[in-house]
Amino acid sequence: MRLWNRLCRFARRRVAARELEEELRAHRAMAEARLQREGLSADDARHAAARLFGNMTLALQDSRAIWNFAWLESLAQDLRYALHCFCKTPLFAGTVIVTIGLALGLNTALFTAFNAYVLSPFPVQDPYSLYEFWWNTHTTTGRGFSYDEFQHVSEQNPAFADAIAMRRAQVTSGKDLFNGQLVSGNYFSMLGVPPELGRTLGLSDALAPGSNAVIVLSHAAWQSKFGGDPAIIGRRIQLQGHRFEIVGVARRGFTGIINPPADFWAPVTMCAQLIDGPDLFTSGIHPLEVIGRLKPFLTPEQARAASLVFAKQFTAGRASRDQVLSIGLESDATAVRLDNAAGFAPCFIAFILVLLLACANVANIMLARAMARQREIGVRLALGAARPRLVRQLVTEGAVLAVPSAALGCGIAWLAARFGPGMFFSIIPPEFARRIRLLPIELDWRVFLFVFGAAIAATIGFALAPALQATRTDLVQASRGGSAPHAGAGRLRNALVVVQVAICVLLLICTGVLIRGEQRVESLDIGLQVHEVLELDVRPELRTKVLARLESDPVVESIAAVWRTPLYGELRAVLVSTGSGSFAAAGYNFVSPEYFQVFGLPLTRGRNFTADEARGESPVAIVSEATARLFWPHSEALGQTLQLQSTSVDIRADKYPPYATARVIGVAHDAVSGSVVTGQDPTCIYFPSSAAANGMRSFVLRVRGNSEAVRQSLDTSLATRFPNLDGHLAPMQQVLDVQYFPFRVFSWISQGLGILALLLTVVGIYGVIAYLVSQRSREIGIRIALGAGGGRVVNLVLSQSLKLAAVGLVIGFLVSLAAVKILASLLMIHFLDPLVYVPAIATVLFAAVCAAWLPARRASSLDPMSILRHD
Amino acid sequence: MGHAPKSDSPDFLPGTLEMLILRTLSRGPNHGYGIAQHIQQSSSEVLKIGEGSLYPALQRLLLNDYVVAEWGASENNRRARFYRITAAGRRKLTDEKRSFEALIAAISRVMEAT
Repeated sequence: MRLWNRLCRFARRRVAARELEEELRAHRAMAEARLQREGLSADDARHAAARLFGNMTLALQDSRAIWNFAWLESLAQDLRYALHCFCKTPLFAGTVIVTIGLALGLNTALFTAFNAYVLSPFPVQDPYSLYEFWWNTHTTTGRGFSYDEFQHVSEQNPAFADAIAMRRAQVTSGKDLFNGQLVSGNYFSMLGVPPELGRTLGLSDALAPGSNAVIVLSHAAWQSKFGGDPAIIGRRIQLQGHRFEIVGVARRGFTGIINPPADFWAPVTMCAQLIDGPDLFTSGIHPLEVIGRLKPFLTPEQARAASLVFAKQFTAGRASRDQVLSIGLESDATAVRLDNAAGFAPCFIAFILVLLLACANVANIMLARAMARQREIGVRLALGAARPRLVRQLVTEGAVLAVPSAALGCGIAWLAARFGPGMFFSIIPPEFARRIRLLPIELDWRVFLFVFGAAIAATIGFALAPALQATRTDLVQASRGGSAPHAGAGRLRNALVVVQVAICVLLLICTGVLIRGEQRVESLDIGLQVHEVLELDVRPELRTKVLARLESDPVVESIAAVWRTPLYGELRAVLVSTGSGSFAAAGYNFVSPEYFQVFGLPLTRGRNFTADEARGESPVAIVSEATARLFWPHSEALGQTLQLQSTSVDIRADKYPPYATARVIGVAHDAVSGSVVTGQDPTCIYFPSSAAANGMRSFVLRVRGNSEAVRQSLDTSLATRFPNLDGHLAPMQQVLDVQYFPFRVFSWISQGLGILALLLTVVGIYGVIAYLVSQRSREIGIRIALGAGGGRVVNLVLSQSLKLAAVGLVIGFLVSLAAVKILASLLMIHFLDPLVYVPAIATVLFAAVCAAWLPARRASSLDPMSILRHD
Repeated sequence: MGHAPKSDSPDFLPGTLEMLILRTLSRGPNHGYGIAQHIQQSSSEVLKIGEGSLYPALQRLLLNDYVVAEWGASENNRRARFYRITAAGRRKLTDEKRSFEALIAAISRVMEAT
């Protein structure tokens, strides 16, 4: 009620003020009139009335004040005062704004990416009711669906109002690469995505296998690949050698609801034309991803229960290994589910630590300022200012600085969102830049909310503690003008420096781990000579011709056909047994006999495949040394028999050994043919095959001379000879570089953060030591006067700095042990690798000495006479 | 936060002025000058209320809805603002009076104790 009255009054405050004034005048006039009636002259009456009633302005002010929002008034006062102060000390304000702004900017940029992938939902109709659905059976987890199964799921699963099926396809169009998604006909209508241009796909586009060679482009692909051509509708393009008509462009910002973002959508019925391998409609493969829209008012738990019952019933009649054991049903509203976003956590922790460091620095500066204003604060306290009021004023000053810092932070985040992806693409190996698509990264309300929250937290961090400290002042001392060392403030400053050093050590040690991890990975002997090796994917009908053409070229030293080019990630697995009856998963690949020659991979024992074995895909195998050691630890691997399970365990594999046993005829040197993260393949079995065989989609070739020049000339001659050959030659070195790339990027980021942390810490230590020297100048002066040499004074100051650094070091080191343990196990380096810790600790100690050096020199050159006279 | 404006005359116990105003208004609506006059006269010229305390007190009463104000004409046809006590004001007056009397009685007992 009071608040309501206040607000009403506030709304008409001008009128109210006028009324009040009129009222007071009337009051005085009545008093005058009465005095006149009692016989005074007009003048006397006016004076008497004035005397009686006192100061009218004050009465007005006091009356008005009853209604005012006192805190609002004083806030405005504080703001004005703070702005005034900062205008007088622009350097100080600038330092604070840049320091905090930079740290906020880093955090905001990271949050912007996090937001795009994890928080902001796909721009489709009711994204939160979209759920991805999959099956787990005895033999597979996360099993997808065949087309037939999808149709049953879509019609019969009681949890879904509707469901769509998708399959990813990376296809070539001339020299260009497109990320496509093959989708069921109801895709666009269920997601409620309208076209920007032309039309989207409809049910009639996906009626029968092979029907409707039409595609819808994403807005981004329309812009980047076709220059936003307004006459794009009706244009035909070649995809995997087939002609497709562009019938529409999807609404701007929509890039599909699975990763990676799509360049185009085609009807799922065009699978055979766009994707090599077994046909979706005849061979019973189950690669489709299904996303359904939950029926209204159904909770995810209910939907899961209903889906499980449905899936079990649906597969009840199948062989037991194909029966559904459990199902998965998870929200697909965002690109990455929050519970899968743990990867962001270490980044966020590191970035937040930098923000903390920046806050500690600024808190120190603010504290020094507040201490310098101790006298002002003391006088105000003595005059009766309430301490909360003063604290509020100091915190307001902080907030005044936080606003431009937050703006700067937003600016940095905007720059990062605008230019970050471009920079990212310019540093990744070019061969892969064209395969990678990023989600559109935008600054939305979540980002602004984040900046707002972070700025408030930062303000509390850097302004509140100093304000509390500075106002806890000893009145008597302050009014005397004394500024003797303040025990509490000193402790706070020291604590801040210790925290800074600890954070800095922690970040530097983590940087050390990442650098060591990168070194380990890059120094790893991958066992394959990739330098002069190129790779090429070729469609089945062209394979033998392309092979003949390349074999005849004099620059080609050797050429091999391979099922999966090495270094494209984890090997596919097959279940094998050495006869004991128990089966274990082992990595495998199909290669032609020349494979070992192309990659310079020596066979240590036994023999290579013969041409006949390759052509006939004979049941023989070459195993890696590690495999031989694992399977036959006490006997010779050569001549042994491998038993192979006929059913697949790996849904990603589209080629299996077509025999139940294979004889080991050779042992190859160990190599990294999967991923550098896991190191040399723990198991690898090579089976023979040839270019003509099914699924052997790639060639790897070793060339003579400058591989880049050879690559270009070969590429050109292949393109003229085979006009409808999609794809081109790519250097294997780049494939390897892509594997190193994440290690390099994280190493760079952590180095950047480490350097920033170090700089902030040096500035922090410098500030504190310089302050200490100025505080203790009298004591130091006396010491010098009593005969202490310059060296002793320098030592005194340096030891002060080192003491703080040492405490911080110990804390930082202990905290880092936990972090290192996790990181080191991820990067497969030793947890107590001295090269991780020693450089970090030495750097921080060195920095502590450097930071204290200048104040120490200044202290040692103090003139004792002038100091002692001064007091 | 901040300080409450110091508007009570030091001669009064806190809150007493408001009670006197409410008491005055319980006889009928009046304007500021009339209220001051009435208090002065009925206290035999002992309690002289200045504008500096009267108007802040009236604003406080307005703020709490103990009184309402409207413009009218005074006895000699001057435009003046008349204050009228509300039901809440009457309840407040009763409360105040009771606690005031208890206070006075307590003070008297202290003063008369030997």
